[in-house]
Amino acid sequence: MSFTSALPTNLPKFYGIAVKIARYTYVCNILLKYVDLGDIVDPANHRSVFDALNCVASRISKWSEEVEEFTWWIK
Amino acid sequence: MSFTSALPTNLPKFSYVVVAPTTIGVTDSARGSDFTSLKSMTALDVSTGLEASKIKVPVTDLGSGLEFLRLTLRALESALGKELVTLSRKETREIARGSDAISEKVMAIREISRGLDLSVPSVFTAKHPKDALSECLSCLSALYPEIDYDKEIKAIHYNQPVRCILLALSLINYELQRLMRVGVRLEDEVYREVNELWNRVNSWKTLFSGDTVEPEHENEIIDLLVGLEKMYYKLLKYRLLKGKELGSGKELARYKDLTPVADRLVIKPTPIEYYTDKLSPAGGYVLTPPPVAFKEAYATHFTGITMLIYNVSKGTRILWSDVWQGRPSAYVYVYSDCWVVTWFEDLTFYATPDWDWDDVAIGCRIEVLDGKRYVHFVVFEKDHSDTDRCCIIVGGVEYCTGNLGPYQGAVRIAYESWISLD
Repeated sequence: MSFTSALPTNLPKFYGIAVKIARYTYVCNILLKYVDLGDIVDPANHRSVFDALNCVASRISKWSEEVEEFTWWIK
Repeated sequence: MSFTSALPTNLPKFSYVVVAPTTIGVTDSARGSDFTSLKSMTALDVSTGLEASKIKVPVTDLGSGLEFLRLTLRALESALGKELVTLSRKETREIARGSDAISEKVMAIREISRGLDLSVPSVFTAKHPKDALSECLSCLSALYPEIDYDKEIKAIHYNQPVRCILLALSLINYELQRLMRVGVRLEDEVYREVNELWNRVNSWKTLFSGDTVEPEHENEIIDLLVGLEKMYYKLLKYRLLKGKELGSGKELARYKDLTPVADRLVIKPTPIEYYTDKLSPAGGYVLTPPPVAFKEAYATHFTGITMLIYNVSKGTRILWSDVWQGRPSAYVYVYSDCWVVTWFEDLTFYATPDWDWDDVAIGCRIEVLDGKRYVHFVVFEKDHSDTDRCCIIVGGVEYCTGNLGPYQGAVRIAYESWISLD
């Protein structure tokens, strides 16, 4: 008996049309993947989270500098 | 029997579990950081906090005791992970012992404080929010190498990014208040959205050693990042002209009265200037037109090319070093008939060459157009811009050149290319 034949016979077979689900997003042009149950957690994805955070935070810091300069002048 | 019920009952529901660390534990480390944070408080503050934590304060009573504990909690949380890598084992043990006494209280306070308005605990954050954010990111970079296939996952790998997001929001809050102090108030929508994001970050339940990491943890962080980036773009709409460009004091007074900031205070993206003179003497230069979609993306997302500029000639290898570990992330090799760009060491791109190879300089960045990613390369003529130091953001990490020397004239675009990454 093969491994395959040992599987339950009532397993549903899906012949439907594959629907593309948005499971990805970009932050700072960095691709981030949403994790679903059963997914193998990819450390690379979590590293991308770090990269994206670093990028957004640095942008906010630069904006902060701009505000600081602006408020200094406007005083 | 349904399909689901046919499944074995012992299937793990979640992808993986935070493992108990073998050396310096997550909990120990976290406690250590908590205690380190406490070090910055005065002894009186700490003892008062501990004493106050013994007082049974009704949840509805937001009196000084609970307020103090709430602020204490915020201070602990905001500093969690700080100086993590610099703690010695002895310190960690001492800290673990010391924090045992308060950890239970802290947990209790955490429950109490959930849902309350958690404003920035300025009383404890002597540091500028920007510095705090910078430190948090430094800690994040120290954790970066731990995120790998053969490494154990720790709670702090998830908690730390959330802390950094919180600090980034604190910085935004700080700057919004600074703007308000000079009479500039943005649209209410901005404050509302900052508040919403703030509350969402605060609803993050700190992971501890042994906790199960759910997909939602990763997804929540991603969502928070998406929210933070949206917030950034919203704020970018209010990019402010430098004061010196605002003109006379009379004009300044007029701007102060604006609510929200008028368009005149918004810096519109400046288009790239396409220089058409001094192109190929043989007329061989053809500027690759950007995709049509770029025009739209350009208007909304373009914030200026950050570029890495090198004086290169044939045979020059340009290397981008990763700031995390100093490892190479991308490099360009200039051959006689093309230049090869290797991107994170696993993808190679080819581009048509510059024609004269005479001290060209290159800049590149990733652009997203119509949901597809492109690497946009620009090759410059030998005269580079007047900046002393140029940077490029590659894969979200900023790389900077050394000092490029004095001003040498205007940048001239000789060639640009769009390379699809998808």
